[in-house]
Amino acid sequence: MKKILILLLILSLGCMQSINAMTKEQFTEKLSQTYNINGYEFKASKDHLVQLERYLNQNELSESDMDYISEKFDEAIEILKSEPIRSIEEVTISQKSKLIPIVNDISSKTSVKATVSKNTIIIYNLDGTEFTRVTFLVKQTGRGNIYVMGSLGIVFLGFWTMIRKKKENV
Amino acid sequence: MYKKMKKIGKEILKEIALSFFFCASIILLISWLYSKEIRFGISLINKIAIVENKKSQPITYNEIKKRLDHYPNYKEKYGNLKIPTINVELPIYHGDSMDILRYGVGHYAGSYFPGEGGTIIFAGHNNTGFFRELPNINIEDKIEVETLYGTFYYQVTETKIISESDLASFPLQNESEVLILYTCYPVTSLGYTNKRYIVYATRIEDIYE
Amino acid sequence: MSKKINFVLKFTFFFLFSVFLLCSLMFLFTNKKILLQEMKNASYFKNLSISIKEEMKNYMNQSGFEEKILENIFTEEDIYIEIEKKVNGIEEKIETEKIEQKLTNNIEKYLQEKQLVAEEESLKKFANQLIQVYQEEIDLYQYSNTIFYSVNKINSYLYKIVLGLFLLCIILFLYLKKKKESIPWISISFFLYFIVFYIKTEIDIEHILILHPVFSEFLKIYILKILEGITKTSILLCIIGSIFLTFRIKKASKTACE
Repeated sequence: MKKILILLLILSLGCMQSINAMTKEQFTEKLSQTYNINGYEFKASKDHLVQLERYLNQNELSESDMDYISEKFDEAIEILKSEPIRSIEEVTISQKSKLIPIVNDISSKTSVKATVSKNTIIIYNLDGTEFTRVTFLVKQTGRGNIYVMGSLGIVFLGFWTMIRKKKENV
Repeated sequence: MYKKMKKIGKEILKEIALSFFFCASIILLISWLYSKEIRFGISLINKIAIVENKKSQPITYNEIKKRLDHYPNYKEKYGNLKIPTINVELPIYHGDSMDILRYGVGHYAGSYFPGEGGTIIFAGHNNTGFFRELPNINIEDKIEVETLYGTFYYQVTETKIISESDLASFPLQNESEVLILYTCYPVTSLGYTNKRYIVYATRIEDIYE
Repeated sequence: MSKKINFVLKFTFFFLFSVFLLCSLMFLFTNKKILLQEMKNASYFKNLSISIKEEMKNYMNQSGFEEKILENIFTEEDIYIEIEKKVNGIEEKIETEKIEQKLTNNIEKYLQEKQLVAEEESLKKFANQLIQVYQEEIDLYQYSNTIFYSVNKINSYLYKIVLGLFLLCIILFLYLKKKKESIPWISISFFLYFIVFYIKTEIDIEHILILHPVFSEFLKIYILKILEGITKTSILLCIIGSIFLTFRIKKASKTACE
């Protein structure tokens, strides 16, 4: 869930680029900042920001995509603030059930595309070529899996688990 | 006869018209009631379950920005790693998944590319794999990374053995260009090992002879 | 007035019977036995076996072992048994004792042949990695229970829906026949064909990739088979409708002659 929040943050901050004519450097700097929710700090890690910067350099998200994501992101932040959680791991089931449709909505309405195959999230460039693959672990919640599976929450979740899995490969 | 044919024709047209009317009514009704949900569902399916293999665009490097304008696709071979002192010449692939490491050196996708002025992380298998000679490398040995967009040279500054969970030994930064090579250690161990052998090398601008 | 009512009932029959046919087809295709048979026909177990071997081979370079230690550690039949359990809703852990034993034997034989020594802990962890690959591939990375549970649930709902619709359609059919109204077979045929056409146009079924390439290949074949079933039903209804239309026309022209 931390990961959904952070990617939503990143993508929605990308929207500010269109409204305030923010440069990509300003945008990246903004992403490197710590985000405060309910008095607790959230921050994207360096390897995620490297990949995000690379993605945005290579793929022009349209203004309408970014505007839309920004709107949805604000909604997501409000949902997270609505309950006294101290970290993303404490996100309640009711919050998750409101967050996942937001991610679904963004994924279906914007140009960002990803799929899940063999425990790996494959993220694509806008031209359909493979941008990156991220291996992740799915936390089991019984039958609820099918709901999670249907959502790109998995995609965004996996985006942030790269560095741990990387070290186990060799 | 003509009247008969006319009657037959009318019957057929009546039947077809009725069929189209029935179909069109149902389709319009469903579109009116559920078009949003249907479009959302189809769009989501296309986004997360439908994939076509597309050809990649050429990799281009911006000398001024010191960044690539277009990157290699995941799993794409984009260069060669050469370490003459230990007789190593290996293909470099973008990505470091298990299937990539079977065929060559894997470039960790969360690190920078050669020429971008940041940390570059390359992984290779030990044992019967490509980096089995890595522990024989010495400080000041030269490393050449030949890519589709240019050739870059590095000099070994440090080597060490760490635990697999020591992620702090892979510092990601973009202030100076550092090449990190790593493999499992000991390189001849059988089965699973929880140690890693790391080589650090910094970029040198001079052309290696 | 009664003509209008008959028209509405005809329309209702058209809709209900179309839904009945679609639900019946889905009920058939979500049946456990048919699902397993179709998996066999689509070489799902064979392809999964190949995929498991390939994934295991990814661990060979780093382990120092040769690929021959993977010989005969599991069979297609083993995979079939595990998936059959899942399709039947049996939530048991995947049986790995046999494969673990065979793998350990192969490793020991290899070490003896090459006169090598290895740490027990390293070998155990290595074997566990391979067994995890076996489990994850069969389990579709922990999604298989959810998928087959959903399929079984859909099948049980469809059973009730199909039964209900069948009764309704029978009643409407008999009423329409009593009122000497024609049955809209051709309309139903067009509607079914439209559904197939719409799905094929909107979704690129040939390029499905979700959860696992082998599963995706099977899903592609299965979906195409379902659509083929609907198309065949549509063609059959069109033929039936045309035959009845011909009879009606003949009757109408006979009446005209008289």
